[in-house]
Amino acid sequence: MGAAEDCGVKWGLAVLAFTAYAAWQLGLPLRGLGPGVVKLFGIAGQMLPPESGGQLGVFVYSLVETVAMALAATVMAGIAAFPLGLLGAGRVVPSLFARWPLRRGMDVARSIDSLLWALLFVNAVGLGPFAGVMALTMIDLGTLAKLLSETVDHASIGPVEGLEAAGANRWESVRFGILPQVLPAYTSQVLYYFESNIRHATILGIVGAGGIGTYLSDRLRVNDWREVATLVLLILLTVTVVDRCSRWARLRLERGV
Amino acid sequence: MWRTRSCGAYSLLEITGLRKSYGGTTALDGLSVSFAAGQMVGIVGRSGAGKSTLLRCVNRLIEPDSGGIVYGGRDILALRGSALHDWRAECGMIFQQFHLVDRLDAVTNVMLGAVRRRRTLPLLFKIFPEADRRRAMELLERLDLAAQSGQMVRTLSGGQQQRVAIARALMQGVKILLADEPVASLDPENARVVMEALRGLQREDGVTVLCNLHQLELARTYCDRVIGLAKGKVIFDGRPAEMTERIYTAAV
Ligand SMILES: Nc1ncnc2c1ncn2[C@@H]1O[C@H](COP(=O)(O)OP(=O)(O)OP(=O)(O)O)[C@@H](O)[C@H]1O
Ligand SMILES: [Mg+2]
Repeated sequence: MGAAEDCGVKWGLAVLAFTAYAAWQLGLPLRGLGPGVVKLFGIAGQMLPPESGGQLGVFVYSLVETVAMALAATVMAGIAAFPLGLLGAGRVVPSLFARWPLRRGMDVARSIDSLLWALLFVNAVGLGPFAGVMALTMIDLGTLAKLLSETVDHASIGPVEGLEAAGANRWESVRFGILPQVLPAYTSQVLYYFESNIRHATILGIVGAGGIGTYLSDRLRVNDWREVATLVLLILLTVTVVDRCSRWARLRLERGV
Repeated sequence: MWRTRSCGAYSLLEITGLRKSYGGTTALDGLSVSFAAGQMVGIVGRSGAGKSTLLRCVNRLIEPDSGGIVYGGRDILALRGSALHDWRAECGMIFQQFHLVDRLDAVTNVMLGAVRRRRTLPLLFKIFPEADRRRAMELLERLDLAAQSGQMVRTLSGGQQQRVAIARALMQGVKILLADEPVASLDPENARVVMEALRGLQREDGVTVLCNLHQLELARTYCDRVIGLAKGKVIFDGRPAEMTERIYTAAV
């Protein structure tokens, strides 16, 4: 057995031991698992048939609001993250000293969960979809900017060198040497974040940040399972449609249109 | 040791005592050589001899540690800011891997050769003067690429891409062209076409061409003068006919 495998086995055992210890510490009630599953099936039974209590119009409207929230956040983050991402790249701003605060800022923005951001913004700007939009924007801003910085730093240096050798200044060599290389990937990432924002936007309502989650959390609280089922189906439908469209667009982009 | 000799009436480019090392590796070891105007000079030598480093020092893509580079009486190593950009525009460079903007069409790539003479802002929006477009088309036609002018560069063959790069250099209005292994990734037929094009630049436009080559045969066929490098020094300098395989087997 090689040293590498040996090391792998040791690590595997360590992780297992830690998991067992953690389970014991948390007092995971494994005995409760069986009845829990049974109860889950019971709830599934109570979901049938789904119904809307005459509020289908309201639900659909809140779903449109959810999509609008995701779209607004994606567009704002997509536009704002672009210059930030460029400035965070070593290729564009060689000084580590100037880049560091920007990169750390991106890390902070994306490491706070969307629900936490939503709570912060609900406090700052009040209940409603605006808080949700801001929460999603913050996360995407951090992630998209960071991804762009990394794409730029991994882009091939060839075109940049070719342009510099032709006398191009910094602006020109970034514009023509780097942008054409990173723009398709960036657009594709923005689309991907649109998909992810839709999913996130559906739960932000739980903390009062607008969207269909407002109704979902309300119906969950009063155990109105048949309306919950309607809401979940509506969300599924929307997420599927948006995912399909966006994936189609991303594939076209990657193939170079 | 071969004495540096300049094969022309006056020397256009004088390099003296050029030194460059990367960490522990010495790429250029006090290299001195001068070039006359209007010649096509082949620079040959083993891999790692310092050929690329030499050319990159000349257009300041690399800063040498010490030494002097003087072009037409101008101290090239003292250039800063826009004067440096002007020098790079005057001194073209083409690369083994072409280094074009892959995702733009051929004619736009060629128009970018005029980058130094145009205002930055319109360029950033891809707004080029009509005259530049016409000139770029002429140059592509001259390099037998008229039919490919609208094609995305990455869909062109290697030989075609290298000719687009030459057209871009012509667009720059180069007086001297540095070619770093311009045909090393091309098949023999494309290599011939590209070498002919470089020869044409030298003969018809009076451009001084410094061309790194690793095939002695190409240097023999196309160059007026050959310089052999080893370990960052000149070990041969003369006419192609005088050159032997000795350059490669020379003490390493
Ligand atoms: N960026 C770099 N970092 C570290 N060492 C380098 C770098 N560039 C070149 N060198 C070293 O400097 C020496 C000269 O390199 P150079 O690229 O000039 O050689 P060359 O003659 O062009 O070789 P080739 O025929 O392989 O292109 C080599 O030993 C190389 O390893
Ligand atoms: Mg080289």
